Amino acid sequence: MTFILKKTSVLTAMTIFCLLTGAGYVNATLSGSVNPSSISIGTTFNGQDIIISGDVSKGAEILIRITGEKKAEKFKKKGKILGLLWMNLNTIEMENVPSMMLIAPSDYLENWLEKHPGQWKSTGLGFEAVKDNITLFPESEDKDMIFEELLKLKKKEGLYGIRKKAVIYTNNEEITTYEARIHLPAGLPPGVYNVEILAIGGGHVLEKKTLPLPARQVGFPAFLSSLAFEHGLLYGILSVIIAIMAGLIIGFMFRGGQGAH
Amino acid sequence: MWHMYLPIAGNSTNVLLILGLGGIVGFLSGIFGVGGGFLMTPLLIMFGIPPTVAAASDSNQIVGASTSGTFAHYRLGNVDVKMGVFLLIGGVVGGTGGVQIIKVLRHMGNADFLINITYVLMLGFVGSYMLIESLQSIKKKPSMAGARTSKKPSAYARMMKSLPGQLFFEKSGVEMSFLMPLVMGIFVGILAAIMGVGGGFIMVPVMVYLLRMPMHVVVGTSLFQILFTCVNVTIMQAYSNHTVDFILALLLLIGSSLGAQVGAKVSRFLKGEQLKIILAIIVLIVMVKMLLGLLIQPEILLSYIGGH
Repeated sequence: MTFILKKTSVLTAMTIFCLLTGAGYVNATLSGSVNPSSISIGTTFNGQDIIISGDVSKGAEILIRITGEKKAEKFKKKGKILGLLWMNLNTIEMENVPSMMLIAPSDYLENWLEKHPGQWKSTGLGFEAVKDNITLFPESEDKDMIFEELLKLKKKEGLYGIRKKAVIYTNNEEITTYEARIHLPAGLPPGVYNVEILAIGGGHVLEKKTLPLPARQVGFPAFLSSLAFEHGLLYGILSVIIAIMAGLIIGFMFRGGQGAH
Repeated sequence: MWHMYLPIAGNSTNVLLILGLGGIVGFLSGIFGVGGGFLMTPLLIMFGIPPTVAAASDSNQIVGASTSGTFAHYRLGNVDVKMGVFLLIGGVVGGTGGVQIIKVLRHMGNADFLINITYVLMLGFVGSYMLIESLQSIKKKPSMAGARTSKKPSAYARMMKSLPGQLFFEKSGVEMSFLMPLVMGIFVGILAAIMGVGGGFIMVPVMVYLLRMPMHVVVGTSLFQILFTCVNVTIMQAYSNHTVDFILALLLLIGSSLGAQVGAKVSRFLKGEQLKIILAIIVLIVMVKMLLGLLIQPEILLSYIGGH
């Protein structure tokens, strides 16, 4: 709220100028931590809130990004056949697709980026940057269109998105204390995530802190996964045997009930 | 608190939702002797389970449900084991062939187009035929219907009589060549492999109309046959694709086994014609849903291949 350049439109215009030209560069101090420092995916896991908090010097704005490991993924593109029927057509391969991309800008940054959507590109912090890094096969495909659809798909799964109003400031004398609560969806693929805390001012990333956030399956889910992927045949046979046993037990239970009548 | 994490699907799900879903599909399966894969898989996908995991885990679930269902029907004297074994042998042969056909189609491209069209046409044809036939035979008086079938030793019936290897199937009370169920098994096996389903909803009409088995024996025998098919599919999927989510399957199984028991009991109170009409309507609803899926522009024009 004390960001002085918000006060008048003239000053806002100056900010944009500063953001674009890089004038007004100042140093910022930044501290931050993530709680919890790792994610355990157990039997009752249903997504998890993480809290990112710390201090930043006054005047700088906070933007948090949580990115997943980059992977190659394969998709089917849907299209029309005979001008009538929608179905899967070409296979599309993409490389360098982050498994997650959650962005939480401070209110000020969010407003500013909303008014100047082009700025996402120049900051290199938004989805535009993800698009630029992705390589697409076959190259003849329309990258903009495909990326739009990829965003829709990932946003629906809760793996990509902009988390508005997540960053909350508490103002002190010289520093601003920030705290952000971000929900990670239950469909979070296991892996190591990067939590990037960025202090932004004058169109620059003044300071950056990157914290690793490992997410792994534990307990029964971890046991089942390793059995399924490392001993597939045994896992399949066990699944069938347990299913037959369960079916028989339930069958016997019902026969018992019927016999009583 | 009602959530549970599914390690292979890689997502959490509401336990009550999955139990309920299993219960409904199990109930239908107990009544009609269909595995219910053609209903369950799309429903699971709708609730956020990756398609390959949904299909494979559903097969695992059907193993349990059809064990329970076969058991219940066996006690009621509704399983023609002899007929079932011939259908099964044919089904395995046809299924293996069908998998090869799919490979060739994929290689040629447009396999999805053919699969979808086959699906819609089969469902439409089978559903309409069953519905019309059942409605007609309900309208006619029972004596007339009897006279009609006995008066008509059609070319089909003569052909069946002339085949070598005639056997009497006690439970179904029909006499025919063992080649009939064998060939029909192959036919259904091929279609099931191409369409990626257990084939119960094709097998049931085949048994009723082409093998002329009584409806109640059809249901029990179909479940018997589905049990073995799904054992095979589950092990193959777990081994080669790692797509069987055992927790998901177990939750579905508890729901569907209970549902199947209730279904088997309810089916005793329904007449054969009524069963056929209800099944025909369900098949037609699924057909319309698939057709709409093909005609309406999807919300997102990309979909994942395989698990992710």
